Amino acid sequence: MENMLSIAFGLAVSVLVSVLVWTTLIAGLYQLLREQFRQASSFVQRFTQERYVQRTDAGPQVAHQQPVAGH
Amino acid sequence: MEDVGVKKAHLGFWSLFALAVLAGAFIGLGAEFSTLAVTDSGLGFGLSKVLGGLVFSLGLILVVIAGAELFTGNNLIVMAWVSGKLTLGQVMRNWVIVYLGNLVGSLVTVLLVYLTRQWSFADYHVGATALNIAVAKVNLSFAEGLARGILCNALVCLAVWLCLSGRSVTDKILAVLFPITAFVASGFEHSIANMYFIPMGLLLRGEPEVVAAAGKAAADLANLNLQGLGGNLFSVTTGNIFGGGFMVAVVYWFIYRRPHEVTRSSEAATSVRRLLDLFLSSHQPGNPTKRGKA
Repeated sequence: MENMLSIAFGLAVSVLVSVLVWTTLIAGLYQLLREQFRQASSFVQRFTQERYVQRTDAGPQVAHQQPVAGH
Repeated sequence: MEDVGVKKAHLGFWSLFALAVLAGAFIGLGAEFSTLAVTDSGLGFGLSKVLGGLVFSLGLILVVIAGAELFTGNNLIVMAWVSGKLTLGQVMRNWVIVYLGNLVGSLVTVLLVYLTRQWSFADYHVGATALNIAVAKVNLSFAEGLARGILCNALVCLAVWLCLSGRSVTDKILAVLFPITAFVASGFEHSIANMYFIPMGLLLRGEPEVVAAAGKAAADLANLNLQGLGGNLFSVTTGNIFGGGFMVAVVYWFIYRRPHEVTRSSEAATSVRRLLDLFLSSHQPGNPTKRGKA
């Protein structure tokens, strides 16, 4: 009986602690990946915008030197 | 502690990784020193364990005084998360980089110590001690590893917590000494120290003189493999995170740092709600979403 109690207690503690820790870790990893993805996408967006601004600022001079397909 | 946590979380990748490699190496050196000290010490069981713990403190002393990033100590960053100064993602970034850096540092130390053939000292008994330690660790059940991991990191984080109150190097060394000696002597499990002990055992199981000196048969070494290492690290790391992150950081935050403007009757409910909000929230301080911008 005592042995069963100790096994049940060990199992309960193991499950509770593991669920708490790993749920937190998985939630954190998810948030980390989302933050990294957001940073990467905002970097790409900024880079694209800067390129667009550079081209429009340079105007016909750049367009004359480096003609871009579709323009 | 919260401000320290915020600083740690904002370190650049390479600085953090290099400091983590150093911490892994420091803990490995402490583990190696401890293995040497307990071999044929001539002391009784208890005193031999205390001696091993005392010299193992070298690892955390180096981490605290010289400066390095140790995963188990960094579990205290949870305090900055529950205070809302960091996101869970930032905490996780620190933990992932530091854990991997600690692993690299420990493995490099294992290789270097192995190449020294220091394990052949005392007629291969130093190697035998290392092998016996590794075998005992891989044969722990999940619940044992978890419970020992919890208690270990509660003591390690308390040591780091005590260090914050120290002003001189002597203060900090004294603050580290007793908690670390207590955890090693009690046989508790430290995930980063195990990154040294178990790989060292994996290398030494291939040395017949060491196996003979340890008095081990092939069947005794059956669990000493990569699977055994992974199983041990899984249970012990889980325990370490709970022991340091929840039992020390969250408990001290709850006692001293939780918002005090709430009324007494709703204190518990507010604290629980705050924890749940932090856990579920996707809000990022200082990094607002950029939706709506072209």
